[in-house]
Amino acid sequence: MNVLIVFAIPCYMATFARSAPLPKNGALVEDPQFQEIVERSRSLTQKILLSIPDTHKSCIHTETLQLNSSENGKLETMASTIGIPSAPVLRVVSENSTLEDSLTGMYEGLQLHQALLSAISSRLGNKDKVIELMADIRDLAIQINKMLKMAQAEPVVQPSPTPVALRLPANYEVQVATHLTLVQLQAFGQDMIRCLRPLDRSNEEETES
Amino acid sequence: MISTWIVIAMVVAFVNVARNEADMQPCATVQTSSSVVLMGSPVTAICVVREDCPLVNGQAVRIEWRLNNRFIPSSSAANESARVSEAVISSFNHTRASLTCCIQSSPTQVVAGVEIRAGYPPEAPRNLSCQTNLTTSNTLTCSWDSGQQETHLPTKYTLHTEIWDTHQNQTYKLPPGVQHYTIPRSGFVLFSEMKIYVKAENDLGEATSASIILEPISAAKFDPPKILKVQVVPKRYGCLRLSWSLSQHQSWMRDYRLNLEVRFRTTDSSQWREPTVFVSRIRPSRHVDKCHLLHGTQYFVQIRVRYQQSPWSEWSSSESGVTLESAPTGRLDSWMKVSEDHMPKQLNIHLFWKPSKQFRANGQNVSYIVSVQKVPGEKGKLCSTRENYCTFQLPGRIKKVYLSAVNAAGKSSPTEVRIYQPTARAAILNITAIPQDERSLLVQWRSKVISNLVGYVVEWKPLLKPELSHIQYEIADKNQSGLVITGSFEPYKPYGISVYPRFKDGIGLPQTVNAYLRQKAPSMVPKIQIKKTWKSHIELTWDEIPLDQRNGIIQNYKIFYWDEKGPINIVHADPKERKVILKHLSTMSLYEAFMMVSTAGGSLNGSTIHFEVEPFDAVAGVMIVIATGVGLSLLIIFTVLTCFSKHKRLKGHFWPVVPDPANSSIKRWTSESTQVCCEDQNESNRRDPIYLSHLSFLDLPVKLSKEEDDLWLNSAEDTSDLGESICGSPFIPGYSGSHSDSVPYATVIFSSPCNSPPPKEPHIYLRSESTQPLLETEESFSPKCYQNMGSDEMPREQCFFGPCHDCVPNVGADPGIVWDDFPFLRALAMNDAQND
Repeated sequence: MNVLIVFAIPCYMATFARSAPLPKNGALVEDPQFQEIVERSRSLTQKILLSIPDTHKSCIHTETLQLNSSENGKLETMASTIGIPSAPVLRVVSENSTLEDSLTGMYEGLQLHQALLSAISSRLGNKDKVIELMADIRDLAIQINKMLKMAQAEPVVQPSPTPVALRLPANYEVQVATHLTLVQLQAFGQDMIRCLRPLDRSNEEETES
Repeated sequence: MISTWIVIAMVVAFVNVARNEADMQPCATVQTSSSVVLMGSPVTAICVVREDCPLVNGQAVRIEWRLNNRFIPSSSAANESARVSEAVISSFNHTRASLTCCIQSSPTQVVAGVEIRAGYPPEAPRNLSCQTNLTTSNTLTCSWDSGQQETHLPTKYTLHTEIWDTHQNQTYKLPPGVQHYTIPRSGFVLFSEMKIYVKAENDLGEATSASIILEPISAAKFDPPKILKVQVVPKRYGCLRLSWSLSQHQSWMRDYRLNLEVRFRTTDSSQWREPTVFVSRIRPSRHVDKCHLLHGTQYFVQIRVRYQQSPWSEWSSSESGVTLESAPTGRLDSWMKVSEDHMPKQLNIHLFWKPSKQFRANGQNVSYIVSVQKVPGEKGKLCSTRENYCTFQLPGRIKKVYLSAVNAAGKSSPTEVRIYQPTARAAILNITAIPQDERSLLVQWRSKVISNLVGYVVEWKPLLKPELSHIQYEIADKNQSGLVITGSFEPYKPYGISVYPRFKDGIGLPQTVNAYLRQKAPSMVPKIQIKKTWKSHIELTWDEIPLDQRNGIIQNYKIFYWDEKGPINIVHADPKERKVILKHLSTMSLYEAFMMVSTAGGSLNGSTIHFEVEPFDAVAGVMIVIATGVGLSLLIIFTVLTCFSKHKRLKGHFWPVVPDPANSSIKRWTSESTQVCCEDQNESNRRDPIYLSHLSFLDLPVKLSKEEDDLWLNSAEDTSDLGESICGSPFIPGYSGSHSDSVPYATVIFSSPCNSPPPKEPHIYLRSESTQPLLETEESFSPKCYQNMGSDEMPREQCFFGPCHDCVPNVGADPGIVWDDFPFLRALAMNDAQND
């Protein structure tokens, strides 16, 4: 539950910081190429969020494990037991948080979830949706990495996904691990949407012909 | 000792094994330059026979080569013994063949062989293309052509991808013969460019297709998008606002900029308006406003979408919306037909109208007002209708009316329509209408050269729909002699097309023709009815085919008829008369007949009827009976008339009356009336007869001949001549020129005039030389009577003049009256006396 709260606070703040100025990287954000990547990133994040329910349905057969359920807070101990790491805390770009920090958090979070799904997928019977979801996360990570490269003053080689060792002695643990990973990914994705929206400078005017 | 034997046995066994192994060595080996060669290339092979080959046995051997059992020439190697042979195939043209080395013996033994394959190196795969599938599972499917030429060799195809963003190179092995491959989602990055190519390899070489570089999202064909809503833009005329979305599978791109194309169509148009509206880089979450549309018009809208230059999606389903309404604008074209009413000075007017090219209804519900006043109002309003026509009456003095279009937003400016008096002038000579294509007819006409002719009006209507609202028209210039009329013409339906001449002062008389867009065989054939039969003829009639079942212009009716033995006869009937007479039919034969009705589009045969021609039909029987009856009646009438008119002659013919001079008596004859004569005759009946002895008619024939001509003509009242006097005379046929040949018979000596008192004493009769011809034919009767002269009693059979009871003289009672019974004789006597 703390994980969720940790996600919620910065994104709640992000809603108020939407039109906040971007002190250092203002010119970069206005760059059409950067804007194009932001647009792609928003779309891919949306794609991940839309595919999570289907993925959850395809691989979670335990009835008590529901995606949007208040019961999910009861699984914190199981998360620790299995060894699911928490996602990085995302901060909306502001005077106190740089674009690079925000993008780095996004990238690390995506890498984490890709590693989690990779670890789980080998134990799943029906893993087609999970593999697709992993590909979407990979694609999004590529776009975030592109932005990160643009934002970084010096090029830094981003780490590849570090394999995660999960304790999955039985199928129940696999189900719980998959469920918690998807729940965590959903929250992380929503945070990403909130953090990417301020970066989108696209014209919101109506189109007329 | 036993052990010694065992050792010996083992040594022997070892030696045998070693020998067998030497024997199992191949007798020869074949070496070739390559076992896989290019088709048509040379192949060299060498066969080396082992020295210890059992077939050799230290002797010279003869080696020969065979390719698939076909002998090929060979040569022995120069520096080798006869146990080495070389074969050269200058052009190897087999896709797969066995080359064998043989040693001639009895029989020839194959000692070694090799399989050689020939083919071609692979062609580079062509037309490589890829398309991304963004539906349930995201995939990238690539396809290519492997080339026209068959390699004849196993060829391996592989698909190679290189993703630069991930530094990931992937090779997909493809099943043989497959020319497409679907890359799974993990094999591509949606927004990263990747290089794709196909490689083909076989034993003779490899070839790589031209590589393509694409961003998978750009190779995606989207699902048809959805139009959520089409609505008006407040306070903006001619604008529609479009809300839309991507399909469910692509809804994640709702914030992505896409290219959109919109097309519009009005409700009364079947064609989408060109060009389509292109909207670039628009997010599905945003609506699109389209302006410059017609006001108050319902439009159907469709959209399609693509990402940058990716293939367009299919068009979405149609949604409709109505633009804001404004008052109609532009003028209306009109066509007025005027006819005079039976009421004096009143005109019946049919006014038709249609929008001109400039007319804009600008509203959904448009009605029309015809008024005699320019400013439409209740006063003077003639019509208010939603139709395209109006019928009204007007006094002849009104020369124009005004036509306006009205919708909920207002009225159009009125169109003035002049009223022309009807004119009876004709200018159109003839008119034809032929189909032009699937939707139109070509109407052509000829016209007289008339000075004040200003043009024509071509009017057409479906004949099966008599309502005036179906009448359409087109205005033509005076220089035109034809017009293509296009409309909702239906095939196989009749249309009436009229061309009216337009004069400066009115509309002339039209020429009309019926036309079909397309014709086919009629839907029915009328039933043949036998109207009448006579002799060997039969008349067949039938009803007209209803207009809605003709399916074309009836060209002819054909009657096919035949009897049991005869050939099939065909009779054509005039389409207008709808009857036919079959002639020269055999009686007592059963005929069959059917009718074929033809239009320009086909023919249809009717059902067969049977009929028989009777030898005597009712009409003929009646005719024969009537003719026989009439003939008999005429015969009877003729006979009766003949009998009445000729009864005396007949009587005379069948029962001839011969006067007997011996029993004749001359009586005094006067020219008095018959009554007197008869009275005298009655008186004479009481007298004794005077017998003539001599009678002469020498002077009489001339007078009698004249009287004979008038005998049937004179009326009974005419009694002044001798004809009347000879009423009942039996001598009339006998008077002829033959009198001159008469034999004098007797001479009568007469001594007193007729009117003198009769002598009391009996007259004396003397024989004379008379020329009287009476006895010319009945001479045999005369002597009998004559011989009885002087007897007191006259027998009854001797009466010659009239019935016996009238003529029988009563000699004894009054002999003096006898003269009256013989007027001729008396006249002769008087004539004689005068001559004397």
